[in-house]
Amino acid sequence: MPSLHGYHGGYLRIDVSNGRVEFVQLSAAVLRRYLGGVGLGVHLMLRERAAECEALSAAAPLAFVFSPLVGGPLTTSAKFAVVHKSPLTDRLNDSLASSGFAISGKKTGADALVLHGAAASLSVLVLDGRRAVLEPATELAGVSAREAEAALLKKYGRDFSAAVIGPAGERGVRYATISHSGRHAGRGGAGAVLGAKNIKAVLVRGERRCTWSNPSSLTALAKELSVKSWGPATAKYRELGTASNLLAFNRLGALPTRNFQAGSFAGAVDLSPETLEADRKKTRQSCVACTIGCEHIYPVKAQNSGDAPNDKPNDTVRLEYENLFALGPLCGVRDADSVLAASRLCDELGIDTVSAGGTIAFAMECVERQLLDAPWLRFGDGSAVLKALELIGRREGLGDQLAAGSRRLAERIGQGALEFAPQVKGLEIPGYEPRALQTMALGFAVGSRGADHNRSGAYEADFSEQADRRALSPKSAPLAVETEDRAALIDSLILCKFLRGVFTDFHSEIAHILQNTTGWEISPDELRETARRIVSAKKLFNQQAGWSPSEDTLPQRFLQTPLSDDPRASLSASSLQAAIVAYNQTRGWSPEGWLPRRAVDEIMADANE
Amino acid sequence: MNVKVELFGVPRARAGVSQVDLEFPDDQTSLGEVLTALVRMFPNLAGECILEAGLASGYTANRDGEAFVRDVGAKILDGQSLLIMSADAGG
Ligand code: SF4
Repeated sequence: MPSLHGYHGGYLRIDVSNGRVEFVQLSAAVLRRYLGGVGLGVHLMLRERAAECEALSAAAPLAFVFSPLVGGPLTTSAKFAVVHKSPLTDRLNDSLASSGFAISGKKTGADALVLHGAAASLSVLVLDGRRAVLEPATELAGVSAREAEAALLKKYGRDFSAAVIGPAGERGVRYATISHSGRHAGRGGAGAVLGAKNIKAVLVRGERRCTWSNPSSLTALAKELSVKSWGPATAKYRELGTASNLLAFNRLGALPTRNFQAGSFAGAVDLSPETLEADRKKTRQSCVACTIGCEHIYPVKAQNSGDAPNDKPNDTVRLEYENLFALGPLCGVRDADSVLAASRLCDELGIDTVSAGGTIAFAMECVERQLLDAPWLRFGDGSAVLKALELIGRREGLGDQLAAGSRRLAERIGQGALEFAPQVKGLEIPGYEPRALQTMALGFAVGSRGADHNRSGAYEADFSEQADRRALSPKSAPLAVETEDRAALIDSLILCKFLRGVFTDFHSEIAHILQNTTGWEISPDELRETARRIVSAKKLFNQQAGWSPSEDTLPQRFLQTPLSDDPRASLSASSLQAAIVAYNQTRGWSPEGWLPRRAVDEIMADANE
Repeated sequence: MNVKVELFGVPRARAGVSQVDLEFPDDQTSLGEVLTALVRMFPNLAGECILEAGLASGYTANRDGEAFVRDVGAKILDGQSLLIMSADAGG
């Protein structure tokens, strides 16, 4: 094989039932066609026949996937993807996290680590280069991800990096996360999949570095990109963080409130970063190898649910828009200290804040409608949110039902509850009200991992002159396709999405970066085609897992009821359906969304190579 | 005529206020004129949020919470609100 730059040329297939490791070669053609991160991850899932597995079975593979840019000089490139079949959606799930694990993981000498099997008891997988050892970890049972990570690094040494699950992952909460250094591969339940394998943590270290095709040009490009990353396009992230969306969304009626019953929240100002930083001393952090630094860290005051004392009075938490919206307005909570404490508790347990907040808010509405007997669970009560989170973490009482996510809870309740469960394909809807941002509504409906603001950036069209944000039309479909394709590329390279505003000619600049990394003469058009292939491959996985066109939709609430505080924010089933058909046709799929035979054959030929 | 300008995120931080009422002599004005008046009042907005040619690329404007506008010639009428915010809604 001619020498590869940016890649090791294969993945480690690790059987965690016995620690056996096999290096599986990947051809240069496959690496070029799927790049890395999410793209390579979906290829690996197709190759490993993951769609046929039950998501929480021992046989189900789970991949940590790196990328050609990891370990290189480019800002924000220290990222990894976690790809698997989701226990929440039973569809493909791809989540991203950042920092040293990506760099150390790639140094093991592999472009991805694919775990399958299950350990006999709670264990830690220690990967030193390409050598794997399974160590017992029963003493870490029930320990928070942060504490477990600290204990493991102390035991094994700080030259290792660790990806860890919290108690929620061990107990099979279907939206449990995998965390590393306080950052989470958050959505879709990767933590539950790792927990089902009885793996508390994966530790990685190694010494194998990749070469770059043209190191001096790549370094020059990296410097240019770093300088641009200090400019106005990223000021929002540096100065206020993602939470700066809150007041703008509230003003536009796009801030989901009380389980999507309204689009604005009377307590929004109390939760805004402007208010929070006025009387709290915040600090800023960044992922390894990032020049933006979007993480705003706030102190958390001691709170408790009334059931359990909080013994960590001096904690801090990263404040993100999604945490704030899901644990605040969505649950009707305006008390900032409660929201910060709830966010911190999600970190400790290792659960996705969006799914946790969405499921709790849904349960609150069920209580309000007398569909659920939990009178303590009321909108606006921050201590009730904390209590619910604790129960979810322990899977105790109502918490066991909440741990399954809003769709399963709604199916269990019946009586029309599914109509207002805030999810698509089982994944809870993030903080973008679909009736107020209707191109985003389309992005949610067709998303391969469910309602998702990271794989579809369709809100970009809603925030522009290109689309009427409250009147979805088939003309918006190409805009949704374009942002989804761009996300597929960014997530496969992998670069941070918060960098996207600094590119003037995205495809040309990325092609140039990849040429200097890999030596491949990649054109902007080839990248466009690669993005389309990756999105199609995700769809193919879902089709193999039992997808049907009827699941590309939104809950009835969004298609039957205008927003209570903005009657013009109204979306009909027929306009959504017309836009979905246009979306599918723009992608070259059938009007219902089936892939053409030729596309299936091409993608499966890669998977069967 | 009167236009209420509401600022969000970085523009708010630069200006140091969340909203401001601006007076214009005619019964309609344009986005460009409002931006010029804003920069006169809050020079910190210049260069980063507002350029000579209009809004900087990372920023957008919205009329009355309805349509987004970037064209400096876009009409702004008496009594309307103009919202200035980040064009990047990623979170
Ligand atoms: S911008 Fe934020 S999320 Fe992105 S790499 Fe930097 S610190 Fe991490």
